Amino acid sequence: MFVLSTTVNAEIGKGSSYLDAGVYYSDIELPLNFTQEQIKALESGIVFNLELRFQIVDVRSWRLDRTIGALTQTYTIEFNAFTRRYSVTNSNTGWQVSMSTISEVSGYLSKIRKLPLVDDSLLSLEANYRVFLNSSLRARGVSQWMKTLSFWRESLDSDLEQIQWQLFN
Amino acid sequence: MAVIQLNPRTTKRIIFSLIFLSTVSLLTLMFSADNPNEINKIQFSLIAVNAISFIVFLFLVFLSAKKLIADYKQKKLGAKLRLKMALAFGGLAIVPAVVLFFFATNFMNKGISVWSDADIEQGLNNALMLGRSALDEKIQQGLFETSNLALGLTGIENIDQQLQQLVKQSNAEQLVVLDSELQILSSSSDKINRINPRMPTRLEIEQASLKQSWTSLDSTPSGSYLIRVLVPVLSFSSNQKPLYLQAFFSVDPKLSMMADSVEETYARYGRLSFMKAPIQYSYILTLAIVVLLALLLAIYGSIEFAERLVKPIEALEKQTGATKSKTRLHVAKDESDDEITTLVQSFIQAQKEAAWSDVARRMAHEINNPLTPIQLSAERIKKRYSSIFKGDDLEFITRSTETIVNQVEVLRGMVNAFGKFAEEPTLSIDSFNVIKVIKESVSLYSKKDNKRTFILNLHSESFTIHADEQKLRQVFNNLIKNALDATANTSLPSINITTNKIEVNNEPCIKIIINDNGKGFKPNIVGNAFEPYVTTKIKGKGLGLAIVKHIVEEHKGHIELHNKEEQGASVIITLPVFQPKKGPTK
Repeated sequence: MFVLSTTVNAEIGKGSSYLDAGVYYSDIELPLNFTQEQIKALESGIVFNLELRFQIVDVRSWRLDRTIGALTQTYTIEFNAFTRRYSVTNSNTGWQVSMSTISEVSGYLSKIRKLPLVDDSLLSLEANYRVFLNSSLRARGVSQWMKTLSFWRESLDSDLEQIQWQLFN
Repeated sequence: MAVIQLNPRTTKRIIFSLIFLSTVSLLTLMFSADNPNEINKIQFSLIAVNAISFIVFLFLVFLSAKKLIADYKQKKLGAKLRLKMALAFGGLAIVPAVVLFFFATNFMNKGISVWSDADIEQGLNNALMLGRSALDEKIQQGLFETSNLALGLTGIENIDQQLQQLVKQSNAEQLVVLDSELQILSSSSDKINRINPRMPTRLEIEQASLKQSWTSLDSTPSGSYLIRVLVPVLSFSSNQKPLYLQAFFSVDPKLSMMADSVEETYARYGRLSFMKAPIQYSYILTLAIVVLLALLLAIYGSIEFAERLVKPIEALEKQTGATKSKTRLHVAKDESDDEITTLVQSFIQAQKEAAWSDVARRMAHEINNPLTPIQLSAERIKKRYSSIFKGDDLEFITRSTETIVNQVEVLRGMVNAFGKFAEEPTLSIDSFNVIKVIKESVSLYSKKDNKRTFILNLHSESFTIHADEQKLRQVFNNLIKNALDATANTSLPSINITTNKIEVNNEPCIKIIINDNGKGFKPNIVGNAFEPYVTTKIKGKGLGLAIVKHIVEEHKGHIELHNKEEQGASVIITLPVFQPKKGPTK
């Protein structure tokens, strides 16, 4: 049952939270687009990690803000040359889906639904909580040194715009 | 402008530390190079170590080159030669290093290019296609079976029981009935929790609706494969929403394993191909750092080597200046022991000997002339006044004239010694038994002094050599007398003479060693004991060892002396058995 619900548009992405059975969940829309270089790397067998780093911050007037919780969700994206399918695995839950096109992958990861964020009992109703989401897509198993030496081509790593929204009103 | 000067010992320590660090890091790099992607994790730090070494070496080379150029501009002696040598050695190092670098880079690039060979890529693609073809039949069987299962479903009411029944009857691992909104209505698996129900995507649902079926081959995190089939359920629906049946079929584990192996190889190949260029750059960069380090080391070494090589010449120049200012001639022994140093030392020694010979000749001539009239005059005074004076006066006259005569005799002895030292090298070569001569010398002194013990370790009773017998006799007498003097205060004095037949440069020689257990040479004397006027004896003229060396060298022999570790001194003479057949030599 939804008790409190907010939706805030970020610069490009969008995030919203709602309370369900004592737990705050989030629905997120990420502006995730794979670059040509990333697609080429994926198809060459390089595995990518999409890391979503959530921070729940108590925004206080006249005092320093206080981080009350942090959560990281990691999705592993890889291409299997034998099945010719992309598989996306949630490293936190082990849940795996497979897709036949990169646009499906992009679409799947751009809309993340019902991600548990924080237990309601940890929060105070008087406080002003904001959720900050920093996301990045990184080529796994390729050292920074190799990435530096790939200077002539588009970067394999990309950082998505930060999304922030009010946890509840 | 401040001048940076590094302590040579500190510089040496820095250089050796850097060489050690660089070598260790490069070896680590070399031995951990199995997987190019893996090594790159440590590559950055290893290359950083080498980059630091490179910067420090560059700084050292800069300092050395700056000093060299400054010396050259100031026209310091040897600077031109040093610069030429440094350029020559440096040039000799640069050319092969650059050639080696380009060839190594070329070979390396060719080696890496083999990874992405078109034939290999085609082969791997074919292997993938072959694997897929092997599974195509299984996929078709799965599709056929799932379609039949979907036809067998009778309604939504008892769907759970129907699925359980169908799973048992079929080859399917799991059956799932879901609607077009991806809501699972029922799911059944013959192996509980073996596989998570994998949801189809909306696109797959659309495809299944459009084409009446959807098949795919899915990989699992454990490396096995599953055939997934999605077909519409045509006989009934739920709340007006179309339903779909999804079935999973397992692939033979052996086939799965092979497929996974092919896929892993293909992926590995793909990763290497994709990272080929940065890997190439990484290797080239490492090689470049190694070559540059080696080059800098070579340039630094060439500058230092040239300086060391030219140092004796600078010393010679300084010594020449020292001779002019009547300072003692000396080349520091610990500086270097190369041929140029030896040459310079020989040159200085020859200069000194020539100077001493000249002095000795003049002294002999100038002092000898007035000695006879002085002696005769003293004797005449004594003779004339001995009949006139009596008592104390007579005693005074007698003592004074005797002192004059005695001192004139001492002076004459000294003049004779100088005369012998200054003699032109003239040898009267003959064959004789050198052992006999040694024994005679020993016999001469053992009769005079029976307190000493003479130990003779002669390799033979008779050994004939070609030499000047009288001069060698003088050598042995001199050395034995020196040994006797040295052991004067020793409680159990002994003199040990050993002979051996040896070969030097394929020439037969005799080695004569005279050891004593006396007080030995004073440390400040050992280095220049053969120089004229060097002595520790109260009444010594300091010419004995100089004459001995003179005679030995006239015979093309070699003499050296040193203090023994336990007690006493040791003199070693090496004489060739044969002399050039010229008769008397000059």
